[in-house]
Amino acid sequence: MRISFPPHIAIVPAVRNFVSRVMVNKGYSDRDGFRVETIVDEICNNAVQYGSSDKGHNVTLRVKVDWGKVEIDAENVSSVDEKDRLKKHMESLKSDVPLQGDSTRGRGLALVKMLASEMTAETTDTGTMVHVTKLKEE
Amino acid sequence: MESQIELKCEAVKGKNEAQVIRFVGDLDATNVQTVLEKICNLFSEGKIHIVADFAKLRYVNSTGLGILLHLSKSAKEKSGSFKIANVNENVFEIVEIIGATSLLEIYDTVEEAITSLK
Repeated sequence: MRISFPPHIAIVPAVRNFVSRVMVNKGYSDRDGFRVETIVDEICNNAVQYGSSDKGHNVTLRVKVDWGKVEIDAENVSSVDEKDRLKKHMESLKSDVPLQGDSTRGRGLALVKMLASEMTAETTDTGTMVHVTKLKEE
Repeated sequence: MESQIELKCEAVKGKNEAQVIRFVGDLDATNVQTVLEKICNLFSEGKIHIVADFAKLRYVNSTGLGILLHLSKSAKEKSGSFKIANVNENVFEIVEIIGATSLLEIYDTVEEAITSLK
């Protein structure tokens, strides 16, 4: 499925709920549905937060649900500066430093990394794309 | 289209500075500000011991957890406390992954959380 939506945080809950329901309808457990809901929420929030808010610069979410895994892409339109910020953030996530401290700021993608089987990010001609693979667990 | 969250406040018998808040719904980036303002208002009214009942909190994300940690810190700065009870297993997994189990006071039941109040 492909969902394109304006870059507003208020739209993300409906998107994440929809994807989670599709997962459960496709035979995934409620627990897996919840984990995918969290992944979709965090990567979409990230795409909105670091993307352009200009009219027409939609966030695009692609979800492919197979029998044993789900693949998720979230792509935004963003400036060169924001692309660099994402790149640096992804580099920082490569170290296996445990999450500590009293702030969760910037931890959305760290949470996704822990929930996902695989996570990568790349810059495109117009913005950034985060790709996540999540294997069926239960 | 923001997520629905309802906060139901209840007094705690014999503890004037305490309040139980029952969270109903989803806590995320779309409603953290509302939650923050409501609980900060309680702090201002002298309700510095908060017991948050999560029995009906279905979902929390990293932004929501950030606010919970902020509230916990604020309560401690006021010589109060912010305790959480009845966390469902999905929400607890997120709290655990973020590494917040050692930063938040988590109890199995509201009664246990209330008993722990000084």
